[in-house]
Amino acid sequence: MTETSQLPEEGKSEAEAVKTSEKIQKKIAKIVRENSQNLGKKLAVASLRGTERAQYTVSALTGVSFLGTLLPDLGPEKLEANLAEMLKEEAPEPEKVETEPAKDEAVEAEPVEAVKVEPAKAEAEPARKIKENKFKDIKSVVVTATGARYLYSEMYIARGYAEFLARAEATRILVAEKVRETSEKLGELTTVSSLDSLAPALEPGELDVHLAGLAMDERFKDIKSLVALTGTRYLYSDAYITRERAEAIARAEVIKAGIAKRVRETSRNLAELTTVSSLMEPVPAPEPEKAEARPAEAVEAEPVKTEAERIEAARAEAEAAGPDLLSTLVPPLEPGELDVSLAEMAKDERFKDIKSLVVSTGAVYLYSETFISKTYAGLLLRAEVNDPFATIAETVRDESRIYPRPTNIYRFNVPVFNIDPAELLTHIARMLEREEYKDIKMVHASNGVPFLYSNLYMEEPFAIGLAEWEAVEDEENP
Amino acid sequence: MADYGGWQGKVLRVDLSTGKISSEDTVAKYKDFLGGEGLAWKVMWDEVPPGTKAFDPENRIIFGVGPATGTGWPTAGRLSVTSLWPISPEQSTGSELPATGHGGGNFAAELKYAGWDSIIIQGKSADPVWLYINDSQVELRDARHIWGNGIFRANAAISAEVGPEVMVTAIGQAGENLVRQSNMMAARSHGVGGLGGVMGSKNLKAIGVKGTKSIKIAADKGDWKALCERWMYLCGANSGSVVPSTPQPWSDYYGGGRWWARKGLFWGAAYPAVETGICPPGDVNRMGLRTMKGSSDFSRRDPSGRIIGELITTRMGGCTSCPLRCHVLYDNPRLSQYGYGRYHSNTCSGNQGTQHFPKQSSDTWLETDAKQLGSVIADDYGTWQNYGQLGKDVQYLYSHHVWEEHLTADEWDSIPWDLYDAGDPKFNLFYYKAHAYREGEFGEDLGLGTWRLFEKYGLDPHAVDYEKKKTNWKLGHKYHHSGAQEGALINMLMNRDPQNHVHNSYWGNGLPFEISVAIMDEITGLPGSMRERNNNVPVTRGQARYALLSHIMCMIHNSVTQCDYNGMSGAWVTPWKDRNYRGEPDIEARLYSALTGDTVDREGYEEIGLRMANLFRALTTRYMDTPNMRDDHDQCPDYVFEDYGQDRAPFTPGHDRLDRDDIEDARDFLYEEFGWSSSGLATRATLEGLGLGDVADIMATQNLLG
Repeated sequence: MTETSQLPEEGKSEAEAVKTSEKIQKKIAKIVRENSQNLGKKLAVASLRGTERAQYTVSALTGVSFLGTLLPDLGPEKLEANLAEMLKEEAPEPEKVETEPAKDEAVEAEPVEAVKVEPAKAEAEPARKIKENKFKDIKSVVVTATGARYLYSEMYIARGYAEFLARAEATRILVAEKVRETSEKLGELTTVSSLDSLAPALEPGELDVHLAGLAMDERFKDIKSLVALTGTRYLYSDAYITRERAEAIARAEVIKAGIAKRVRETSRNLAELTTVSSLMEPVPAPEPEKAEARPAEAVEAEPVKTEAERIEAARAEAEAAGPDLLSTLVPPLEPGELDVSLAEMAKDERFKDIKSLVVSTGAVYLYSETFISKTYAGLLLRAEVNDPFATIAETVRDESRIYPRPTNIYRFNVPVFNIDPAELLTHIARMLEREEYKDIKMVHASNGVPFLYSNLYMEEPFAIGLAEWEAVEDEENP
Repeated sequence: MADYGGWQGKVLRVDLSTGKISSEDTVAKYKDFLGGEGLAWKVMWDEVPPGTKAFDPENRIIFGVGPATGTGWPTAGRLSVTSLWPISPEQSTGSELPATGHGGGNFAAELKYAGWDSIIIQGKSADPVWLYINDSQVELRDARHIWGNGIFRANAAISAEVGPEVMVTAIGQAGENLVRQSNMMAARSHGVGGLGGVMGSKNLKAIGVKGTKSIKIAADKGDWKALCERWMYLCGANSGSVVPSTPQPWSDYYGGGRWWARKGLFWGAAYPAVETGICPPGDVNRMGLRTMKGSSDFSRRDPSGRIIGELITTRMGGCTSCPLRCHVLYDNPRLSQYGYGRYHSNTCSGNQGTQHFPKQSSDTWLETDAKQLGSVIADDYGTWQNYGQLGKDVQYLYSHHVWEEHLTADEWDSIPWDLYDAGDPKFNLFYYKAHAYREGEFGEDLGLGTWRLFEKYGLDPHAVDYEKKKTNWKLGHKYHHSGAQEGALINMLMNRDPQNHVHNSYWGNGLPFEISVAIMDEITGLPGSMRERNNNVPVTRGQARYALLSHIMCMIHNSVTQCDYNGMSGAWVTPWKDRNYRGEPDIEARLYSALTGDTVDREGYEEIGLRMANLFRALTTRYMDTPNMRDDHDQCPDYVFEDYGQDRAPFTPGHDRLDRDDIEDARDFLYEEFGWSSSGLATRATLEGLGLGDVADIMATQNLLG
């Protein structure tokens, strides 16, 4: 007799109740098995790879709610009760517990004792055998996003595939919810990469399968996809964002990524500032022969000896890594687009390393502080402005204030200051005559080396003492 | 007995008088003093009584290496050679004072690979010998065929005899001729100052070592490697610089220091030329490019405006396991005209062969030739110029007509003063030979050392120092690595110029003063631990503690043998902005612990330094036999209290003039930090607390205990 938790219906005996349950369960099983068999046939015919699987949804299984519509007289409670009965697992055999101590004893005692236990075990089995469950092939899966349950027969549908269908359904629902919400409330696209967190239990590559299925699913026909020049994949709901608008948003992302890429590469490879105006200019594509030469391997094969070679190798490596995004935009970058993008980037955590410097003319320069320090960027800016007086005076003021120390004038021979060494003394002499630089003073070490300092931050005796140390005494203390 | 890593377990002892060769247990006898300089203080304390002179057979000369030497611990390839210091004054006991010379190259590591933790030499051989060490095979070999030759020929002869892989430390004619101011050269081009004459007094021409053994590392090999790499990640350039000397993209600060690498600066004589370029911290493969010393040591420009040092530098070299490469390897074909080879290497004052000239030649190539020729000749003869002190002495004696008045007319006329006045390289051919061979009174004088020179001619040290602006410090040692009260304290503690790059490097790290002093206050735990250069204020206890830390860490470096030229780079300070330029102060303790298995924290490691410093103190006190170290040893020359005629008051900006009362306060602070008496004597409590109770017992018997 199959155990049942049901009370006999009023007016019916227990036996009649059991018989009724059996009939119900048989009917349920028949429906589930037929659905599963149908799906199984289709799957057997179709190639079970990749997106082809995606055309089938969990609805191909038998939803519990759908069962309710087929058996309206049953009612939800009785339906659940019968399903619980059908889905109940068999109890484990208790003899296994008793066998373990006997095995332990067998380790210490004669092996023949373990053998003696087994016949007793065989005799116990018939007495404790449970009535076979006729519906043990009927299984269920739950779609986590909705809580909906679906039934299937393991005779026709593998457990793994049923679980896959459940995950597919959950994923599609969650993705659609997120994309719609993001489109409606934020007016933004959703990157596919950001969807990983929605369904962490998916296997690698499985998200793409479900997204392909979502694209074919009529329920989600408003969910559209877009691939930007950066290779970034986006989703959006055209119920809230038009295709045109989505393309504009994606383009803006490409612009920002392109700006960041150029600025970072220029900072890293050339240690230079990037003018905003230069962002409007296309960068020529690499020569085909260079691309074919696979510069990354060339760098490994031939050790770089000079800085110029290293920079060239880095440049080639960057080119091999991908095209210049700004140069591939269609149509090309518009001035307005640039300003908007820069403003957005200033507030975007992804681009927090991109810094800007503005000169009095309004010209804007960009650099990445990942690769160029604020101090160095400031020096580059002065060099760009190309006002030797200001370069000298401002550098002297900085050094007098920060370290503090007077500035050996020959420090300005280093290229970053962009001052012609042949003109240095002339520039200094003229600068010292200017009213706006009256705080800049000159002192000499005992060996005649000239130093400059700012009396805004330093007094002459201190400047002389430090100049003497740097030019004379430091050499005496190797 | 615990099985430690690092130490090989045996110290070699060679008695040149008897020819006996024996070994001692390193750990049992010397572990508490690490090795190198510390081990040598212990040997000197136990075996060289007051009254012994530097050139006596009873004097010891200890070639010291430590547990770190040759293990891959970055920069741990140094040699510390200790003995009674020939140019220091004889004390009332008859002894000169003890001191250490330091050298590099690959000799020290080779000694460890041969299985030895140090070499103690005593006695005197009847005939010139050289010591051959080939792992456990140790023998004294006849050196009569090498004696009389320079260091280069000695290296060649020994290599021909036992193979080119031998590492040699040798003296030249200067050491053979018992010139007090002479040196020895390790691995051909790494000078070990001051002690060539001691080797010569023992008829020991050279030591040649070949080693094939390994060194045990107590830690897991992967952990050891990671720790060494951690140090390299944290460290700056040579001499403790943590900012580049020119603006670089990766750094917010620049200026000073020895991180000279930049775009457009080349190892110009390499083929093809190697651009030093931008060498950011963390780029391990470019660490060796950071310190382009060639362009600093030979900084004059040729007529085209190029730095001569850049044109002639083939590459930078250095010592075993040092990534920072401060040794200039150069190629100057012009040297051939003087009869010397075009290839040579050295660094710092070792490259300064013109410090005795009255002025630099206006011909920049000629001046460079003179520098290098002087260096080559000095390195072959084994003469030593006491870190430039001799040059100042020569200038004074010449310009004040002292020699003109004292030398015989014939000798005076025989000296090519016209070449001297012109700064002509050919003067060096005469000058260094005279020094090495003690030729005439002039040559004799060159080798006396400052103190004996002043004594001989009755010179007023104050007058000389005043004119030459901070030269001789005291006791014949040169002013070096000074700076404010802490620099004065560091100089006071030593028996030779302090060679304290812990202090000098920290002051020169390149960071803004505000950052440097904040870091140092954290290290010492006291405020005001560091002064702005040439801007003194009344001394603080923090400065005294800084001086103590500098002193003991320098001694630890010279004992474990890690290069002191990098100071506490990586430990106290780093180039990393995201670390707020703070290093890991315990990293050296961690390295020591991992290497040896003797686990100590930073305080424990510093305690080892305190122990060695106190033993050195006791040793010096005993040789001086004075209960008043404060006045008799811990002196400041008068010029530190003067201002060269300007008479600016102490504690006003722009100069380094100190105040006498303030220096007394500084001494008081220092003695309190060390646990010494007000007269500068180590106390029993301090000595016993450091495990030196036996030292205290002996000092007590001589009334030299504080």
